[in-house]
Amino acid sequence: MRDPRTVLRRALLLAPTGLTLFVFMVIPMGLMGWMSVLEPDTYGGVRWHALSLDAYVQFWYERDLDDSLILNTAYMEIFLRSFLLAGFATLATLVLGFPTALYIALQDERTRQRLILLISIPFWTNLLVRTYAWMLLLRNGGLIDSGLGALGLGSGALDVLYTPTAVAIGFVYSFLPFMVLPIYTSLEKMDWRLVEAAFDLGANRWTALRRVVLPMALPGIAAGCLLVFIPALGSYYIPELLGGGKSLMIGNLIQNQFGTARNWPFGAALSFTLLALVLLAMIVYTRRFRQAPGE
Amino acid sequence: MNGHAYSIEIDQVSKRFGHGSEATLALDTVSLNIRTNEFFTLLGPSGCGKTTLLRMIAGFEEPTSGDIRLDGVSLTGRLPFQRPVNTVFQSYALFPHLTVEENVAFGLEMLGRDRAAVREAVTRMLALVKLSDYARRRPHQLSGGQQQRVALARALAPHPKVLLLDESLSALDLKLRKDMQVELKRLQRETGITFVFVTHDQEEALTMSDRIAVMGGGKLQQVGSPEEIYDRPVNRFVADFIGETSFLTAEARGSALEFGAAGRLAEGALGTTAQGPVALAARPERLRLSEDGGLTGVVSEVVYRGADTLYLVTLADGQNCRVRHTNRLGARERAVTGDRVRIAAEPGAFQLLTGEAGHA
Repeated sequence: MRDPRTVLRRALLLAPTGLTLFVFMVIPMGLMGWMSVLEPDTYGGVRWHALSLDAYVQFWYERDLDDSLILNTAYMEIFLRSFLLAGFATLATLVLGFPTALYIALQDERTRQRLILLISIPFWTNLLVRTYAWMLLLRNGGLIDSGLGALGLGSGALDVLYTPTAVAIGFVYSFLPFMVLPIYTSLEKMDWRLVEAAFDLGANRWTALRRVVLPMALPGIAAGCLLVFIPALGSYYIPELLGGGKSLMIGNLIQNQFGTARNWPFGAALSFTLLALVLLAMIVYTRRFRQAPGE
Repeated sequence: MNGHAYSIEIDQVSKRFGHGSEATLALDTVSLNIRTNEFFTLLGPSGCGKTTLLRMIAGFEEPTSGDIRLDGVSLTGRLPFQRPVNTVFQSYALFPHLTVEENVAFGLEMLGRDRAAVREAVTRMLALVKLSDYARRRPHQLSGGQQQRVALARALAPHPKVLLLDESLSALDLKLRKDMQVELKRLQRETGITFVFVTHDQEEALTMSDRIAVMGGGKLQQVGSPEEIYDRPVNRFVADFIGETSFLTAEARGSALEFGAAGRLAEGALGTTAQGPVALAARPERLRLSEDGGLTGVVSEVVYRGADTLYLVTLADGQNCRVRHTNRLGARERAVTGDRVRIAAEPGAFQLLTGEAGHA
């Protein structure tokens, strides 16, 4: 351990990773952290030497005309809505994704390969393009609207586009593969003889699923939830396009601060708050799933 | 008593896998009855259909034709979890995410037993398989033998009517296997459960079973006690699969067997009264090298095996025959390679093989 050559070799081996992390992670984050405690400059940017906690205060309070602080829930509502939408997306993709993954895992080898290919086909096209496609589908007079109208079910105006519902639909569509694939991976490794053993001991199909398959798939489910929840929480262009850019979610709010609002410190502070919340979720996750089943 | 003499009745069961020209017949009209609280073994080489039969009793496969009855009631259409039958799997199939006691409790919980009853039964089962100190461990923290005992306790805990054991000892080392054989026999006596054991190991089958069904090529070859199977194999397959055997052909005339140039054996060497050309099987230990023997031949090889010595003899008519003698302290070898010897046979030493012509 103490051998200087070993230490040097280890340092050299770690250097590329360390350097990458430092340049692309530590520096930007440090910059962001610093910005969040500065005063905004009038036309965007920051005053580099004017320290201020205003950005964090702004998240909670509004400054009244007489300079007194009054509680402002507008930003918290956006955070709450973001969490609800991301949470819904996670739940919905889980409910749709688990049976899908289970179905695929139960097929023979060739069918499985084909189905996985089908699941990954959407990745061949840019997500932005696919989101625009959803705009065409969802808008009033769009394919779904006129289709429903032709069946005599529509009232002429679907009124879904530019609502949280449209954002939720977009999330479920975009993130479903990120739920299916990790669950499939954990189910694929599953020893199905364990299910036979459960049947043998008197468990019916539902009990076997709940007591044996589900616990074994838990690491995959947890990974899928993370892969859906975190990107959904910070997602920007799905709510921007399908939600009509009405600052529906944190991502849009942050983008606004660096754009039209020209309040970089507030944008930085929002980013930091989001980061803190995601980290918190990660910590809860690792605590909860530390004793994951398996060897 | 339930009024049925048999625990399991397997009635004309066939199993076909695949369709059309690719179909294979895994089981060909097998019929056999297994008695209540019997240690019954399905013995045969791999691919003989014994595991398929076991899986059909468990409910993992359905017979293509025929019926399986448990205590007189047909099991057809009943799913595995609807059958009072539990299995000790070859791979053990312990639930890796559950502790030893949770594994054992699984079947009891499925029966809807209350918590106290489950705990009491689990404690008793773990004591029975001597794993009380390992209740909180997970399966991967146990040795192969311990895992096997957990699998056994888990399958026995719900007190099934029938316990199926699928090659359950084959993964264990020799010492452990011997211990488990004794333990299984004890458990079977103590629990009063019918055991159906599948193995390809003839020694295991002979030492543990009340009765054995020898299977080969999807067909039932012979059913009987270990003594019957060993001493009176009905055909070449059974005689060949179990123990060492010399296959010979001879002419039965009166009560004598004539071996052409090799000579003749008078008086009751053959257990039956068959006449004419016959196919015969003889265990090496039922024959002996003796001055007054009726057959002549030349020793082609001598194999010393500790407890006994095996002499391979080429008879004067060209047939090969094996003779085994138990070794005694201080005794000299009876013959060396190249010696001319005479062979005598115990009464009934030769077993008539059915379904075969004698001399070609």
